[in-house]
Amino acid sequence: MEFDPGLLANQVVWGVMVGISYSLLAMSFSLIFATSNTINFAIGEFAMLAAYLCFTALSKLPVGFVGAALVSMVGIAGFAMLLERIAFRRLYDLDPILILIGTIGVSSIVKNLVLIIWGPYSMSFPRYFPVEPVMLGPVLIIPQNVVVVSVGLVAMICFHLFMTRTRLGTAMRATAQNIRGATLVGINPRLCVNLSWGLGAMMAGIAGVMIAFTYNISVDMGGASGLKGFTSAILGGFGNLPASMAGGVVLGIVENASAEVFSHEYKDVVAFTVIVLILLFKPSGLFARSGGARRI
Amino acid sequence: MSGSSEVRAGPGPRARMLLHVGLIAALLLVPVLFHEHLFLLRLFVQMFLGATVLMGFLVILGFSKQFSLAQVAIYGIGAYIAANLTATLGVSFVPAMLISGLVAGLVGALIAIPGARFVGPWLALVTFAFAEIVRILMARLKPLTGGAVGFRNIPRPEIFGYRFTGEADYYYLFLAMALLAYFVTLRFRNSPQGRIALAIGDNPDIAASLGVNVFRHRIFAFFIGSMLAGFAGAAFAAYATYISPESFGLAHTIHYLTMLVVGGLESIPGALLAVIFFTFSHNQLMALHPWDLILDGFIILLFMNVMPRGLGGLASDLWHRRSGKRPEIKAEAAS
Repeated sequence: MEFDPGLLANQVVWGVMVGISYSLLAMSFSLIFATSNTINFAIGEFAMLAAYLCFTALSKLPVGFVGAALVSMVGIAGFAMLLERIAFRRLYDLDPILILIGTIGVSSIVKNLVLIIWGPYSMSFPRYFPVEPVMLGPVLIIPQNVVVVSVGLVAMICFHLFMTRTRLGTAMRATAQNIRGATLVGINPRLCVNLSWGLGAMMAGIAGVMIAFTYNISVDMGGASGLKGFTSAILGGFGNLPASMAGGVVLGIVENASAEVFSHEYKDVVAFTVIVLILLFKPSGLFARSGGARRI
Repeated sequence: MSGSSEVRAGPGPRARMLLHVGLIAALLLVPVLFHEHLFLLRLFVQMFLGATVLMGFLVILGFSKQFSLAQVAIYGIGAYIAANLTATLGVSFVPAMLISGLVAGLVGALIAIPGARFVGPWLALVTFAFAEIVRILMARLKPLTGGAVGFRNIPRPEIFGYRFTGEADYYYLFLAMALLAYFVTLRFRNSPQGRIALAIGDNPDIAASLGVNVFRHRIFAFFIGSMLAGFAGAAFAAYATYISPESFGLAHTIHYLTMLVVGGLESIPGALLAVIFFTFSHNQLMALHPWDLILDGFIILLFMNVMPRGLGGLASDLWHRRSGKRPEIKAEAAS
């Protein structure tokens, strides 16, 4: 195979784009893990469910794109908060393995209900923005993807501002650091944990809609994207939000570059090999100081 | 160590012995009495297969608290190794099964190495990733696995010149395997190794501070559990004579996890009860396909919330109430 730098550059650009959605998923993982100590295997399914909700809102409701996105975000956040309230709140003192199995159970429920409701065929979103590629030197840019990436970036920035600049965000960070301490200064940790599930699901939902716009939606997108989000979170440094963000972009680039160098068929194998290698050699993540306190 | 993590419940050693002998005798008689009910024998074979895989899972996940999601993948590796050995290389069944079990055990020990260094959830990721890689490779490595369409024409077993023909032959093979798995698990549970594994599961730091080599014990538990899965895979390949990646997907992992939660993560009798119940119910629910996985999910959530120690925990509570002994309360970790 001949090496083509232009092609590689394209893969890198594409990788950054996909990486942004991985970053959002990674942030979702990190947030829920930090506040409730739950490794949530259902995040990928949250993303998928949000994408399907958005799809249905677009086709059934007279709301336009922004309205549909809002409907699906509120829907997925409400679903996650309800789930946390009903099924997970009582479990945090139990064996973490049990909680993990619980989230796998949730992902199984969501995935198969979606399969029953929307059917097994993948569907593509209607086009809202131009999709004809524009050439910038050797690099190929699709305008729709630029919009999608900007939305993702704006969501990340808003999230970061919310966590650092608002009282509620600060309370959630405090809960993540030390539940007992947070309770002592008058924070309601249950509310914060519940909100973090909602907010986390919303981030995942944004990622899901982004993925749905750039590729299309299918029942299987949850498992793969969930795992990619996980990998990014670990790659960056679990529970550390900015690092998880960087991890997502790195994974996106590595994955797409490797698809160019090896073969497209083994793209997922590369992602999973990355998990194993990172856990073996740098378990604290690429961008987080090891042994540091958990911060979000 | 932080006290025995499970209350010793149930009948005394003599009654246990009688119970074991009685059950085994009854199981040995089943094909004699019901040799015309092929459907029933098939159900029993599935039950023994499930029990073998689940016992291995129990050792890894329940006793030593290593969250593996690779049990089904390792079971699949065992099946493909045995298929290659018997169909392609012409090895006879017994050595093929032994080799499959050993290799599966070693693979398990190998993936335990990165996980054993870290706490719980990370291992779930490593093993999940590993299971995905295995699944992708099963569908892609055509010369070894037959690709997505599967591996066909796996020869039926022949043990010391005796050719397997009917369902009853397989019944005894799978019964023997399930009993082996059961006694290995029981022995492991009650051996110093197993008690150390449980202590590590309760609190690895305390165990380590008492001089236990946590790393080595975790890997040993993984080896035992994976070896049982490998045996089960080899037997399954010889039974089905056809295997495909379908049989080793995430859906099966979810079935086994459901059984573990329902049985209670640390209870051997609980796990066996769960296997019996779910083999029968899944057989009925298979026609409703995606609904069985949805049901699994709800059962997991229900048991977690209502009965987190599962049927095993319930049985032990009932026993203590009946015999008037108060169970020793498990020490809560202060966190």
